[in-house]
Amino acid sequence: MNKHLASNVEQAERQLVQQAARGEQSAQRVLFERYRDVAYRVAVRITGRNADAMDVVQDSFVKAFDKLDSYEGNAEFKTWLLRIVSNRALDLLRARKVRLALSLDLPDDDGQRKVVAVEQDETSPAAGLERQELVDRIQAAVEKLPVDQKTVFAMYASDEMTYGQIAEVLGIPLGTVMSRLYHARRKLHMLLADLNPDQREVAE
Amino acid sequence: MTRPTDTNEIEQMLRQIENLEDPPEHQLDAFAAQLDASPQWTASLAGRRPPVSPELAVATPDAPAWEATWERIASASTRGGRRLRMGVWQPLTAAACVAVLSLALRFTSGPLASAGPAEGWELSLATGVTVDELEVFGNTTTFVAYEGDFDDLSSTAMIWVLDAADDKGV
Repeated sequence: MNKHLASNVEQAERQLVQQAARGEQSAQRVLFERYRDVAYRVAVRITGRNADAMDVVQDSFVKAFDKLDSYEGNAEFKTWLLRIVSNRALDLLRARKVRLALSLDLPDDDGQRKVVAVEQDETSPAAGLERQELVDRIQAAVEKLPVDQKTVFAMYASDEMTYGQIAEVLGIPLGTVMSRLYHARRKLHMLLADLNPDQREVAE
Repeated sequence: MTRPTDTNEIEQMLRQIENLEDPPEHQLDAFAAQLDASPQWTASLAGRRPPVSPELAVATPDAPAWEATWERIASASTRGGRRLRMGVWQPLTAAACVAVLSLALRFTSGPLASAGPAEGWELSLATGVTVDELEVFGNTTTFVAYEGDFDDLSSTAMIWVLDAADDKGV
């Protein structure tokens, strides 16, 4: 895309954001339709659950439209939105861990500790069982990543972000993005070592 | 290669990282630190997109699911020109209620009580107001009442602050 065209696109989006900030729902809807997929992909990688990811997307757009008057336009709307998405997803993750920890600590009426079943993730319709198993294995491995690596990986796996955009969303330097992403992918490689080479290559 | 210094070395390092070719840890750390410290290299690499296998993509929700989500977003985002953050009742209500009550007292007992419109304040109901935060002090009970139906958020809202009931006799 040449510079002139890129400039026009940026200007068009700025106008759209201004309209959305004024409460124009038609403009808000355009922004929602434009960025809902990438927001979902980031959210689902961080939370690991389809339902939670949908909640995160919904909450994030509500918050974004609510706070548009504070959006200064220094960053692209997309990166600003994804910052909200990643923060909201991490909040949900922390809250989930607290709930699980509290449940484990509370004894039942007999004084025995309750056994808390881990909620099963919803699975989307799969083209084939093998494909779905691979997806589930990958996500299970992602769940094991440290939070800082998981968020970088989530952004990377959305396949819509440059290194610079990831750095901007997460507020970390570019070199740190590359280092964390490398470590995340390396860790996944080890966690999925039992997959056949073709499957492992897909996961990385 | 210790710390990469030129374009070719940077590219070589990037390839090793992106292809998971296990560069030595100290080289990786040095590379990351050098990038972080160099606005020039940061700017030149910021637009680079890391290669991603298409199979890593996750299935996104279908159109009906998105439509339902949009409806909830639209409903939450717009409730007329006036939004009250119902999740923060107590901090929302106190200051506005105190202001309302103090104004009421001025008009009923203060110097403004006998003042005509030309001498006193001309009051009109505020519209398009968003109360973001309200602090309430003391042992008070607060609630918001609407002129019409309770669920009709387009009607006039009144914020009440009442002293909490003394429960000593209960």
